[in-house]
Amino acid sequence: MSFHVTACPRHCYSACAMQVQVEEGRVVSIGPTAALAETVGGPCLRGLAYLERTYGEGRLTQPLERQADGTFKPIPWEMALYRIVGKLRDIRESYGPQSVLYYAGSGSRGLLNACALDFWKAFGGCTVPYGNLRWGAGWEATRLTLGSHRQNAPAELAKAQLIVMWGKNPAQDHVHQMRYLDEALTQGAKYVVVDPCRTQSAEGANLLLQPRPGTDGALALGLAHLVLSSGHYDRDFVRDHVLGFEAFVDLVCDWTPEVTAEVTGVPEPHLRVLAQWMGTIKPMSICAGFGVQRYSNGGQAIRAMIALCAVTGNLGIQGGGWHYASLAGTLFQDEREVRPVPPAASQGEASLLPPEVSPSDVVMTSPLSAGEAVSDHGEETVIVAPAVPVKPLVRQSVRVAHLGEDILTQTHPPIRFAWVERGNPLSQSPDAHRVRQAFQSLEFRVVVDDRLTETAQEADLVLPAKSLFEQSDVVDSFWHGYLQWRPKLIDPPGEVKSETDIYREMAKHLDIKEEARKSFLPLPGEAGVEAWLAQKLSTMNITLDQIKAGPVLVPGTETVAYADRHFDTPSGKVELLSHEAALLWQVDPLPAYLPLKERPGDAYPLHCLCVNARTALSSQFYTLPTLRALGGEQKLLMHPEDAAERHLQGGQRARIYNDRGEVWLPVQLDYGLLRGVVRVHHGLDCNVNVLTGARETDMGHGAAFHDNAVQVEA
Amino acid sequence: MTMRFVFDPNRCIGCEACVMGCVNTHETATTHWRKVWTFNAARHPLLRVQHLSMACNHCEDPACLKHCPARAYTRDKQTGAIVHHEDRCLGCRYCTWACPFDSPRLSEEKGVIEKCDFCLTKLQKAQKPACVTACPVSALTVEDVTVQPASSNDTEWPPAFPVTPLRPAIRFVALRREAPPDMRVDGGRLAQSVTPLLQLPPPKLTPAKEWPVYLFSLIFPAFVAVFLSAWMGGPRLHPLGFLGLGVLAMGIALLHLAKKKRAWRVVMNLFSSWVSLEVLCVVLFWATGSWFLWKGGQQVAWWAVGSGLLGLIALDRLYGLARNHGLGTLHSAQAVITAAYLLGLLVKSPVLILSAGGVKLLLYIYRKYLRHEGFLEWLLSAFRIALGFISPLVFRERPVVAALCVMLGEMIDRVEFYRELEFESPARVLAVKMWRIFRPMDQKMSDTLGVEGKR
Repeated sequence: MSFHVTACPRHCYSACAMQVQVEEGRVVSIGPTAALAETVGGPCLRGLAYLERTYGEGRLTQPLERQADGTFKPIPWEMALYRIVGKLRDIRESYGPQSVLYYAGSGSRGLLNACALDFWKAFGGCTVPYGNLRWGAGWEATRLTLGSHRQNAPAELAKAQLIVMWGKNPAQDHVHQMRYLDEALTQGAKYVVVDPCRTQSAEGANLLLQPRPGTDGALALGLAHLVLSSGHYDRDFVRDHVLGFEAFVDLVCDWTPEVTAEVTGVPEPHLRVLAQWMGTIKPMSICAGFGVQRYSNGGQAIRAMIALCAVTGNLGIQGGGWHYASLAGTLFQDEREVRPVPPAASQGEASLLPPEVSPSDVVMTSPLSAGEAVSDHGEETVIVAPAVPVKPLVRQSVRVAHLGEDILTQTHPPIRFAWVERGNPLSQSPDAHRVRQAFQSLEFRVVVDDRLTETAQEADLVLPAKSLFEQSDVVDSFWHGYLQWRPKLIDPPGEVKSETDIYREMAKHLDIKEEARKSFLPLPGEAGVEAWLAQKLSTMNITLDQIKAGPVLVPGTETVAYADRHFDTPSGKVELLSHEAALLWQVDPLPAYLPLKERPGDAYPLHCLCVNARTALSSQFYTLPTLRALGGEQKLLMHPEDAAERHLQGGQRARIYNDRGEVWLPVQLDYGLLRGVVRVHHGLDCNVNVLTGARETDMGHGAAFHDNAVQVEA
Repeated sequence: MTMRFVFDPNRCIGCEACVMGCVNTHETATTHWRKVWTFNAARHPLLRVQHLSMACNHCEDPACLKHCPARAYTRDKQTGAIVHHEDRCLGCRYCTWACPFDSPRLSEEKGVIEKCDFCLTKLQKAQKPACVTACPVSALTVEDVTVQPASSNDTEWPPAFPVTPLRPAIRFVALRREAPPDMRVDGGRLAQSVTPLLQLPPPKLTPAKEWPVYLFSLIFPAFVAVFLSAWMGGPRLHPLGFLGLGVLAMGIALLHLAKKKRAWRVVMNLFSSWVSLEVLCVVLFWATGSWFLWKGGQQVAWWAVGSGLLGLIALDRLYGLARNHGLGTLHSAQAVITAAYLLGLLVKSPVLILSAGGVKLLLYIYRKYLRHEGFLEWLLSAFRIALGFISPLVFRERPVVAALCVMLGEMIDRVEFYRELEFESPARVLAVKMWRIFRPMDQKMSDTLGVEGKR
């Protein structure tokens, strides 16, 4: 019997350190560890379900091949590899290597994931999607406004006197932030939640504002109007550290409480209360979730929200600041936030590109994916000149928000083969019908996963994936900023192979020379993996022994971000006026509010929000028996009055539909919803992304999932 | 070191990690031992949403232990943990009626009760229970009962917590903010129908599920009455028939148990379980009663009479675990009164008929008066009264027919009684709280609607 500390590799704020007990080669318990103070409470409901996930029903332990009737039969590894490699060779010869789509989701984090892209480069190249389904717009908006993604250490939140939780539900999606929130509230802090839904996180709040979906930008401007007109703003900070304050004042001038209340639906008295608090209570922390930026105006909304931190002087101070997602720890991830072009790419910005894809081997065939905005305004100006590579190995021409459409429309070469790992795009991409159609149109599909996901069910071959206990790796976090060691604790069950082993075998069969293989793949076995990781870590001046001894804070992570009031923008100030924003994304240089591209109307009068379920992380976990029992049936959450108008009662099945698709779900009455808003959980049995549209956010190549109008009927 | 749970409602986010921790640790369990109860799960804007994570509260005066006829529960002296032993359990489910926290649950798979054991083996090693370890936000913790809490909440319990005199080993931290967040409440929102919020939980006990007990509790008082009438000079009974029917009745009752082979354990807890006492009395009654009918002997007869009456009392007291509508624990389906009424009919004693029948009728009417029921229920009640109280007047000269009619009436009464039984549970407490808050509002709404409808 032995105890080990490991880390959860899911794409979640917390990246929990966990204590795992191993007995006779089997994980027998999972629990908290004091190794990392930020996650001392231990893994959440889902993390605790790793026992079921590793050993329970549904785990794939051998390669599966799809039969003509859609069922799957196990096949030996040799046969599977033979088939894949044969297909890859054929396709490379007939169309070129870029006809292979390499789709990696964010389902499992780890340093070793970088091997994958290196493999595809050695293969001769591939096509990868660009953009980010999760946080793209907010990420870019933060970068444009503050210059970087530095943020205060998690524990700083406990020192805040005013906490604004904006479109975030940490009680479900970021449990370890709740401890700091609780500390702050115990010390008498005020707590405000902004969310069209009354979530669990709103329960302890003093105030809950429920703006109409997609009007957060307007709400922020209206609050700024009140803060500025009351004179309760930080004059010194604004004078010294804000670019474009005067222009911003002009912008918010029109956003009187009356107008703001009209647009957002938030009652005037509530606006005044929050503005009063924002102006008079310091330090204030604004924690924004990812939902708030999954709109066609999401980036600008985030910029307006950061402006509230700036004008109240809540940046660079203890207990204050902007909390979104921290770059710390994502430095070596194969991030895909590739902006159209980095014309004046400073060194810092270069890290936004996947390090494996240096600008020289990226070709952007569709540089202007803010193209939608362009056509809307009838402008034809292309202000971006793609970096022309000498040899385009990795083609980035598929927008992740338009996955289906772009797969179908690629030419020179077309996409013929898809390799999917760590992701479930058929479930998690918007416009799911089109994505499925695109997938089905391909010649061959391979999915690596630990169970038969919706995507895997459409694959020709499904390769069984390792669990987090079955190969060593290093896990990062976009919240606490620690790198953690994730040791190999058990042998993979059945015939499961790690991805690096799969790539090695494929490389052999594809006649990639041993020297080349060694250059990017770890040698077989645990020692090889450790050597490979040690080498990668050394580029960050971290040794393997250090990280094995305990979590290591990414060098450069600060307790209080921007304490020197120097921002990493071109002007060195907080840029409320960003010319770069205008140049790159064709948006107003100020965080002006634009209504959503898709709003509820006559045909589709309800706003449908597709969000994470408590017992799932995107589409992971929910099929595990205990979580299924706890999660209950997938439901359509609806305000009782909206339901009554449609003669719907709780428990009754309803049809939710728009032009893109329809789903049937039982109704659950939710008195806490804003009227006109319905809420469904994505990633579960019923794929609600058949309702969402393929649309990019105003910046950062995010996906505007929440521009989603529907109708519901019995 | 006696331990207790400490629950902080400010911190609990209803995530159910505690349940998962429990499931991981007690892998052989087939029921979820721990459950998170949520008040205002529908998020009505007038009320705060409040969770309560509960398994077993390891009471100082545990109802499960007290009422278990088989002594399947024990208390661990060192920690105070109430431990259930599956190998001694009959699957009789009386503990599920007795426990107001819904802690013991029947495993359909195993046919025995399962319950939280406080992670006794962990506690003994000075480790925390699995649920406490699993709670990521420290909402659930444990402490030594001798610890004097700095601040505690002795007056206000979480909404799902049944208030009982069992002295549960759980302490609550005071809620920081009782009110829901200040939020937009549309005028229309409060005026809308709140009927969906007024749903009662499914009953713990239904006549259909508990038919062996139902049948037995009708048969037993009838036999006591018949025996008494025979003893008092009424129609003679054949001893073998009496014994045979008795064995049959007890056989029916046996079907109630999930573990029939352990049925002998049912008399293990004579001093605190009404079930044990009832079963002993029943066996004694039929044994001595048959003996008397066969061989005679007044001493034996007195034993039969005594055990029969005591058995009836025990049978009635058993349902004292429920919260009944009625005069305290008195109700019209009471076996003692039934037996007295039947006896009166059989021996044609007007005093007994009028007193027992009268009491029964009054109690029945009172019970019906307390409930607001629909037309069909009223019709059934009228039928029951006709069968039970009018037909004896019609068949004055034919006591057996009258008694049979009365028994038919009793069958209706007892079905109603079973359906109306309400055992305390967190779900019931939650429903009652919502009912108290919203029922007046709902009434007002339907009144207004009614007026509008007439216009």
